[in-house]
Amino acid sequence: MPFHPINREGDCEMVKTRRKITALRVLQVLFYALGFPLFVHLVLLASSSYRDSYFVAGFGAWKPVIYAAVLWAVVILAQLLFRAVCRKNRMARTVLVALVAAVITVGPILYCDFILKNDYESDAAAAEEKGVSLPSYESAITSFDEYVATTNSEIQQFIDVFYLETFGSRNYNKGGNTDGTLSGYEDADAPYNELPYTIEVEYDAENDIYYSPNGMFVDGYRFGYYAAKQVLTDYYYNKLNYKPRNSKDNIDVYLGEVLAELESNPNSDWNKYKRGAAASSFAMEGFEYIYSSSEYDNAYGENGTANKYYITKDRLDEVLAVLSAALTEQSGTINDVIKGIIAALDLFKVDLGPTFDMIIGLVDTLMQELDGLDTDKLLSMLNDTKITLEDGTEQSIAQLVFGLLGMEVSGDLTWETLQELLASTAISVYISPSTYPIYYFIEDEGLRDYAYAKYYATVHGAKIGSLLVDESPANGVEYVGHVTMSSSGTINPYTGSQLLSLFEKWDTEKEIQGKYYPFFILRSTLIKMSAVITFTLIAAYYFTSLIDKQYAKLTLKAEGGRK
Amino acid sequence: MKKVLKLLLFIIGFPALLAFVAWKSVIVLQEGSSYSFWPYVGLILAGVIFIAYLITFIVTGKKSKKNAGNRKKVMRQVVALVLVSFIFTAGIWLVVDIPLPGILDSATAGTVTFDKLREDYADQAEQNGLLIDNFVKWNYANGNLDNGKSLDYWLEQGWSAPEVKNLVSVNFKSIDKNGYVSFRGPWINLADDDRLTIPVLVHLVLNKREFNEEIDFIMNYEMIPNLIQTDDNPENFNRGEELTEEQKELLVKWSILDMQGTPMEIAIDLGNMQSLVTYLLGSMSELIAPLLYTLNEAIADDALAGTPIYIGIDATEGNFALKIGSTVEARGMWDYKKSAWLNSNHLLFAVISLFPARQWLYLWGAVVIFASLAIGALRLKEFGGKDEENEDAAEDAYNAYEPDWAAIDAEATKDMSPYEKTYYYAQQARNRR
Repeated sequence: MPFHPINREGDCEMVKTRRKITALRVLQVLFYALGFPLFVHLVLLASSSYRDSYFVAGFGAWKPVIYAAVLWAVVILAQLLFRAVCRKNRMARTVLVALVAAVITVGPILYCDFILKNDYESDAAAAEEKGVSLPSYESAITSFDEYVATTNSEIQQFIDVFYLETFGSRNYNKGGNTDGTLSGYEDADAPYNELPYTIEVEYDAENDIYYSPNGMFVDGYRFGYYAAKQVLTDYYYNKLNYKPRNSKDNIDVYLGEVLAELESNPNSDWNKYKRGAAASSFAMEGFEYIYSSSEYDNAYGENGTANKYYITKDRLDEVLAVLSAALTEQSGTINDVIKGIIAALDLFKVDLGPTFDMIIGLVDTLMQELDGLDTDKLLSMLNDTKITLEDGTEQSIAQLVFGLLGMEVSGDLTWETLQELLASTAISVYISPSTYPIYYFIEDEGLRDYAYAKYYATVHGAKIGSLLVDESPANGVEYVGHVTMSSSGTINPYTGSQLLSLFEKWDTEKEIQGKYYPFFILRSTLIKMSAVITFTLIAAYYFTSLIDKQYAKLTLKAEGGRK
Repeated sequence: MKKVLKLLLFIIGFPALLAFVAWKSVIVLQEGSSYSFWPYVGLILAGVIFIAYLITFIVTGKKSKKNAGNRKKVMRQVVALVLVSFIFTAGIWLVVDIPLPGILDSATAGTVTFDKLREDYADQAEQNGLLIDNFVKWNYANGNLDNGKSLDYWLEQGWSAPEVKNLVSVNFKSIDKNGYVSFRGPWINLADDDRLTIPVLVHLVLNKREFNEEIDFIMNYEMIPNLIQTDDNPENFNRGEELTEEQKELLVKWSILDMQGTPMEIAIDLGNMQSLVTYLLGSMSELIAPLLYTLNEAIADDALAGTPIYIGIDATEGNFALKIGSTVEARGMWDYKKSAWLNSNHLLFAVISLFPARQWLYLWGAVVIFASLAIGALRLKEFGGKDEENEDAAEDAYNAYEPDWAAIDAEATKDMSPYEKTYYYAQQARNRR
């Protein structure tokens, strides 16, 4: 190769070229970044409120961003393809890529406005028929984040009122649930013979509910949104749609009758179940025991597994024996206190009326019968001591005491009715997870759903401090939710029918949010970005070509040493 | 001059950081003064990190000196020092921060959270300091700690006194094994999570529990609560009883209220009955008090709660409330959660002491990294020798009219024979001169 001395002018030129290349590279990257990368970032920002929605979780929450990334990926693939196909013709390549970019970005907008719009509007019309009004398509595509936020705050209020665990439920308990791990007996049937035996808990992911083998919510299960919605729907739907048979009838009366029949009829499935009769003898079709025909006896019989989890008659006898011994020791003092109170009432000229007389009467009777007090003796005392009320009617102390507590006793108070009262007020109730509850044997499906829902809403809810329904509101004010030793709960702001329509609304919104909102988010960003993306992509190609041109100059110089 | 500058930069780096950690650790050290070395763990850790940094600092300095003139090797020492300064400040915590919240959560059963300690460690240190102080006060009052010595003596000794250490560990075992552990889920969890409903309380009191008969509890003197608190007699305790040897042997059990600690007060609005009730409490307190004591004794029977639950009346300052209290204070204990903290207070102090170190290693990390880089730059200047390539680059950046000769020469001589190259360079050298 011949030698060419290099002149200074040429060298300067080359340096300038290199600087130009650097500047062009910056512009090339900048313009590329202003296209799809910026677009994906904007979709990420625009979808942040969507990701906060209670109704989308996990993969679903990232749909808008994933869609945006897919659009970008398609264009990258097209770029690679055109690079291979049009190797020489840079202009043709640019035009083709610009075309793809335009189609890819404008396409979804057109898809939304011409296809999805019709779907959305027909869904909105269908929702309207169910009494749920959705925003117009034009409002939805612009203000989707406001709608998400509004629904979220409605649901948050629902969670707060009923003191739900959070939107999600919870089944976490120290050492397992009472129904998760229990002490068994070596000589018992499976699974009770495993020490300690474990009862499987089944998780229903769709409704976020943990179930025991008997099909009931596990002990200590704390409602999430879906469980509370299911319980309240079953409760109010059946209650409000019940057709009374006469003027005094309602679903609770009907349920009471059905349960009484199941209890009293020796041939009812419930009684057969308790006796452990052959499964084939049940009126219910396809009945099967959970473990074995002795499962009820294993739980509630003598030394049954369930007995230590609620107040049994033996337990109550133990408690009463201790109390009666203590009171006997202090009977003299008690009499003195009563006398003192009566004297003070006279002194202050206070008349407490029949309530006070009743209490004094009860204490008086109790003091006389203290010796050997047990459940039976207490019950007969409560039934036999009568008080004449101001209106002249006579009532037993049992009726009066339980009446004051908001519970009704018809006839004499027996151990069974007392147990029912303790159970229905959630003071002492335990349904073994290894046995079916009586509700399982109710034939009428609607009534059965109602019975379960009523149990969950009032008894289970009262246990866990998440009361869903207050069945005996004081002065018509229903207190629900966080009813504990230190909190009186929240005044229920919803009526049953309001709740049912809210659930309808939220169900519809869940569906709409999942089905349309990712596209609406994409559309809202594309509207602003489609032209920008196409333009910046072309610009990036243009700068690439300029860079290549500058390189060509460099190569020329290096070879020839001059222009 | 360079030496002074280097020293100054060194001081504003790690030694200053160490000083900040020490300053911020003072509260932890004060509150945990009786816990031997445990509250110093954070400071010790910062010290160890400092030593590691110091060693790197010295070694890289020596190597730089040794390799004076070899710019590449000196540069390597600079990079090493900067890297170490990052790894031992923010770097280490960026990694530790990943498992730490989980470890803390499981170690304290969720009672002390990472978020709480992150910035508010001083408050936590004060709380944990109070744990041992009040424990000593109560146990001094109930005679578990020798009253022959003054209360101040015991307060000063704190956990470092073997008697106190033993008392904490033996009595915690009782509240743990015959208290918390004897309750079953879900009831105890509901109570723990602010869901103590009437059914939960009934179940926690009446459900059969299993107790460990082997577990001891140290108590010499039982404080008896004042069950009728009036303005004339507002004290929480009004008398105490020396326990007999037989009583000391009895199994001590714990109720759910002991787990919760604070008494429950159910306020009752008496309306126009206020004066009547005040009169009754005044005139008949000698009759009512024994009734309440008998009721409490009945509750303490094995058939019921198996341990006293003090049902009393609070009629102070014109209020009227039923007060359902626990035995913890009478027995010289905290509630369960705080008893558990107290039992592992030394470990908690160690954990708390990490947080001032963490905070300042993060915060001052940037300064340490800067100081290390600045020291490195000085060392490079001092020992690095001349770097032609770099100098050219610097010149190129600032002087737009000076072409990049090296690049041009390289490009131009790419295909030349050695002879041509020699000629070319000679000519260029002449031109450029």
